[in-house]
Amino acid sequence: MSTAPRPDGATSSVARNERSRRAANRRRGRTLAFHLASWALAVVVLYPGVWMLLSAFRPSNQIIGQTGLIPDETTLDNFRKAFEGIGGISFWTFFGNSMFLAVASVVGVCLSCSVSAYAFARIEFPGRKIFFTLMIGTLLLPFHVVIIPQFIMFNEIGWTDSYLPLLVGKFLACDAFFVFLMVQFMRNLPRELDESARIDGAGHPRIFLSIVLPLMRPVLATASIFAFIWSWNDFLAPLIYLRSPDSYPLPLMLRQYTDQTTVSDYGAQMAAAVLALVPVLLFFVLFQRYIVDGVATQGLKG
Amino acid sequence: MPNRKTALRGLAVALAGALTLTACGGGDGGSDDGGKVTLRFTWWGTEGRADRYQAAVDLFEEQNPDITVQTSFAEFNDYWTQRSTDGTSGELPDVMQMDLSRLLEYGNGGLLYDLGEFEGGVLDTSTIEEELLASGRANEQLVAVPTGTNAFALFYNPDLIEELGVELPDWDYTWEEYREFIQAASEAGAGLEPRVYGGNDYTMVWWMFMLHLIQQGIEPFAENGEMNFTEDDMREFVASADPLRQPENVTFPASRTEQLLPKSGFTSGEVPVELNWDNMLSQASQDAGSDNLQLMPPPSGPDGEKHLFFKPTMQLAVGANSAHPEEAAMLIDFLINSPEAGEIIGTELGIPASQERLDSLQVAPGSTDERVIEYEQRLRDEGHVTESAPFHPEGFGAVEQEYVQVLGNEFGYGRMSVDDFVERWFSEAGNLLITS
Repeated sequence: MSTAPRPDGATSSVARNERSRRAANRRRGRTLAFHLASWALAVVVLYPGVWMLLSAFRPSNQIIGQTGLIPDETTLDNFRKAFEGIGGISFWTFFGNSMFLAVASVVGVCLSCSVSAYAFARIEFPGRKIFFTLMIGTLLLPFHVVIIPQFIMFNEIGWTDSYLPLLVGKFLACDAFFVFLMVQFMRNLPRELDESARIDGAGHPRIFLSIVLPLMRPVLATASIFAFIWSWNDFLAPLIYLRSPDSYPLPLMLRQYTDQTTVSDYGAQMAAAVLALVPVLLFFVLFQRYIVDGVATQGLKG
Repeated sequence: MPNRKTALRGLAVALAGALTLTACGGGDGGSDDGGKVTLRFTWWGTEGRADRYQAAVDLFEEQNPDITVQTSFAEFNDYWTQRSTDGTSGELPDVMQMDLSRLLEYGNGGLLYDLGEFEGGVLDTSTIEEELLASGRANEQLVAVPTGTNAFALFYNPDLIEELGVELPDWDYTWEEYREFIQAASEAGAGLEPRVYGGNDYTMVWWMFMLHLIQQGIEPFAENGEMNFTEDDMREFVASADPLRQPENVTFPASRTEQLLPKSGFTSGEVPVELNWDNMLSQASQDAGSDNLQLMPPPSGPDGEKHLFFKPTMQLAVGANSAHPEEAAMLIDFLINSPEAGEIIGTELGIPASQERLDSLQVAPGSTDERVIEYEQRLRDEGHVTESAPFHPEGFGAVEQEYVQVLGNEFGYGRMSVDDFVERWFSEAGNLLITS
């Protein structure tokens, strides 16, 4: 720095201008570098998605082994085949199954997790700490660890080949992550609100329904988005529990197009994958502002 | 992906323990509904196979109005995830497609129904050669019925060979001649863009090792699951391709193989030949976008003979828990024997084992099917098929995977010497093979 501040703290106006111009240049350079880096990253991240989208319009035999984006030939055949479905079951059946599972998951998660979170955040019951710790502990268990005992259990009850194993847990607040998320959110809600309601004579159900639940909208939206996307993309659980092809959700359908031992139809798989992505993308676009809202409200304490 | 793979493997391991827990659980495979029987029938494959099976099943239901068949299908790896959970809970389907490399896992576990009691009754197996049928026997029970045959072959791409200006050896070529071909083709392809190599490292193909052993007069595995070959046998085989690796590697590089997945170097037009099962020709042809892929046998053994064998492409089996084994056997009989089903199924399940089936097949002239049938016919006529399929002990699929995918990969990248490869394989195989 040639224009170091003088000991008395004042700087000449020339030096000050010079400095601010340099600072502005430096800032601009940094912004440029930041944007370039972001763009480069975005290209890397988006490339597979764009490739899939454009490949869906390629003839089936031109997909594998092509790394370029622009198709030489375009066709809508893949989409026609994807809409026809597979194995005599229409695309819309799979779509409906996926939609039913996803919506039911969202409803289940919102209902059960919010009630459980209320209990953990607001009610002093004996063993609360232990139960909370146990619940958090289940977060550490990967799905693959519990899958065999779970399968045996559901099979003994006779629930395999139905949606029950996939949904019952959602209605019983088995998703510890969402309970935890909501507990944290609720702890930030001012207690004075429920105390004043209590003084007015409201019990827990009334406080929960009239005071807490309306305030929880942002976190419910966040939980809904995740519950929807996770259910929509879930593959292993439906694969294991469902037996009748007409109850399969979309991810199972997508896998039926390719097989290492026979002739695979990559085109229809790409097209079906694009179609399967649309709802989840829409859902995210519509609800993402609630995530932002949720974060913003979290910051406003008091 | 790697995560899921390991998870699935974990599942398979856990299954072994769980099996003992619930083997007694039992269950009814189908439901009786006023004298009507429902069978569950499942297979791996894609839509093409599903369409054919479904059409055949519709016909079966028409002929047997008291039987309803519920069908489902999945991709190969997913299929086995489903079957292992089914097996765990004693809920295997009434009829299922079975693979020789997995047969004993299920057959030895008592999970498959002994179809022996229906032989000569509702299930006619006399149309199938005894050697082929034997592959479906375990513990003196008939636990699976083969649907068709396939044989090992060398696929070649005449157009690419012509472009390279090299000459493919005749059918009676030796391993030495095969190596010379790879060398010559690689030299010819060095200037092309992308570079063309003469062939893959054939020693990393598990079935080539099996064939090599058989050609030396060694039956790879004994009935009790013990290996009949030594580390030296494997070392000698893997080292036989050393002239192709040094001084310069002229085999298709592993890194390029990785880049081209799920296509192979062969179907990408960067290798003129590939060793594979003949029933894979139509997939290869589709991947390569070429109607001009041809077949010839792999190299001959030291005595000048091919020592080839037919392997059952697929098998059909019945779950031991099935409530309607007889009806299940009827369905299998219908699928493998009835001419109507044969017409529908074609070569989807391999080249039909019985001559009548073959004769009733209507194959489009010039199709890949026709080439495969001609290939197998010529193998038969010229006496190249002299062996029966090698015995698949329990764990066969796992040691094959270790050879090809786990160690083969590392070896291909040059991170392992021949000695290391052999040593590591033997130490793993000791854990993976189940001997009795």
